[in-house]
Amino acid sequence: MNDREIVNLYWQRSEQAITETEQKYGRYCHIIAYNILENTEDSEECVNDTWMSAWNAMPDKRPKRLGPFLARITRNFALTKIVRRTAKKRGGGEAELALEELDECLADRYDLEKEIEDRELSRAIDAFVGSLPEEEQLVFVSRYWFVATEREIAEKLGMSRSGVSAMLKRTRSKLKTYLMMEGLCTNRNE
Amino acid sequence: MYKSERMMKAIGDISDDKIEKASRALGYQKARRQTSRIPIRMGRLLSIAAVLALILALGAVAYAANLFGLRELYANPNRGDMPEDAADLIVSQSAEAEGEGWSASVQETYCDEGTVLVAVHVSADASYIVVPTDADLDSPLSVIGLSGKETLREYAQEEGKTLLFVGANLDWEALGLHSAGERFENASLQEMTIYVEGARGSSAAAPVDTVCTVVAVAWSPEAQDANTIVPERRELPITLVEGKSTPLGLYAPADPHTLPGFELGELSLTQTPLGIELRLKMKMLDEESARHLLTLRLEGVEFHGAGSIDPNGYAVFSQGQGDFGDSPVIRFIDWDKNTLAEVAFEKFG
Repeated sequence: MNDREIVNLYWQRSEQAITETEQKYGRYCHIIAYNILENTEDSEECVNDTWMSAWNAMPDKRPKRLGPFLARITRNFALTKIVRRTAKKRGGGEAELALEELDECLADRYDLEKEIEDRELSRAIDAFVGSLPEEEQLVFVSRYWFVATEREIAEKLGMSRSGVSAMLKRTRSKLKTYLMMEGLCTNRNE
Repeated sequence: MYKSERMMKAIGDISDDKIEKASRALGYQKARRQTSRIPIRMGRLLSIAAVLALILALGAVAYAANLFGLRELYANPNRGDMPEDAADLIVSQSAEAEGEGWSASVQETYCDEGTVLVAVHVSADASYIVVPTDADLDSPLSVIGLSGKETLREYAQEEGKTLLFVGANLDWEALGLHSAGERFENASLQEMTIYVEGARGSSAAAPVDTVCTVVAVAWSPEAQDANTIVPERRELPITLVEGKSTPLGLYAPADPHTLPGFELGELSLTQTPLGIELRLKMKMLDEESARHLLTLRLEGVEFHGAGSIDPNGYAVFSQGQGDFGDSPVIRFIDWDKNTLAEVAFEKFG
């Protein structure tokens, strides 16, 4: 069943929509959640929350691409969980590691929160990622969107782990400079 | 909220195609049937090559006795003078904005189907040294047109002044831009002209009332220590009037499959006031082969504007000068500067 047909089922309030979604995107969303949470039970909970959220969102929403639509929901649920978990005990997992790596891209005290809306940061990052060479873009999105490990990225993209690590470091540095130039980072010389 | 959490949230909003591409690369989703979409990498390759060429063409920064306008952007041995037809289309602007101890004003704009140019003047009070945003604290003084071995940071400390990093940008979406660059000219320590040059894509909408955004960041050691460095953003409203363009012809490739990895489509050549604009439909057939392509050359024509492949799968190059003859020939160049393919085109419209 294609995405449009599945979305139509949601709009018709047919519970078959959940079944079809689970069949087509269950594994995909589970991987996304598991990459972040590293826990099967929590991941399953996230995926179930995703179906519920999709059920509540359609209608009114009619996503053109169901995959990314569901993936975003799953990722948001998983990140929310991990942030709560991190608040209790920081460190240890892959998501925490990804969070720490990204810390360097914004200045210590990010004074712009009141002045610049989050969507501007999102827009800037989307433009930045779009400007990267394809391989670098894949590595960045794999690491920071899908929270894949450096090892997995290296295996899937046919690179060495050190190559992935070095590329991510360079990309973070470029992102920091880019955000500075966009006026979204306050400190030029950390 | 941790700043990294904020970053993760922002990264979560990247566009669907980037998510899908990475998920396929990771094997999370089955690969889809290849579409005609040109990969982003391809666009960037051409874009980077063209922007590098643009930067080279712009030449070195030097102090002058007065602030500059758009004509001065072209007063360069590598670029030649701005064509008179284009110079006639320069529009004086009056938008001004003030920041904390500095001000910015849009002086002139130019717009045609392929290019948008904006000249912004920035001036600051005597406590500042105005510097380009593409510089950093350890950049040499030459970036603001001065000689000396000190870095910007050292010079500012010697002079007891604050560095004011300033840049400008355009609304990419409203103007249909696929690439843009800035050039900075200091006229004094407190005065600078910023040229913003945007290249428009094949899906560019008609120009509208838009804004030029100026961002200024004041840096001093004290402010850094106190973590009080905050960018100031000012939006300057501008109205762009698009200059007329004349179609030169529509051409079809003699063999659409000569270039490995692509099916070539219609070539459109247009005369804009700034020169020849090239638009070539390129349908990607094989991503691996396509990766070898760096850029393209239209025989007999040299392009001075930025070039790229826009999201609709068109190669777009602008501001070409020269003569391509009756049957245009395009050479496709790989990363080693070798010719991948040479394709002749024949007029059909």
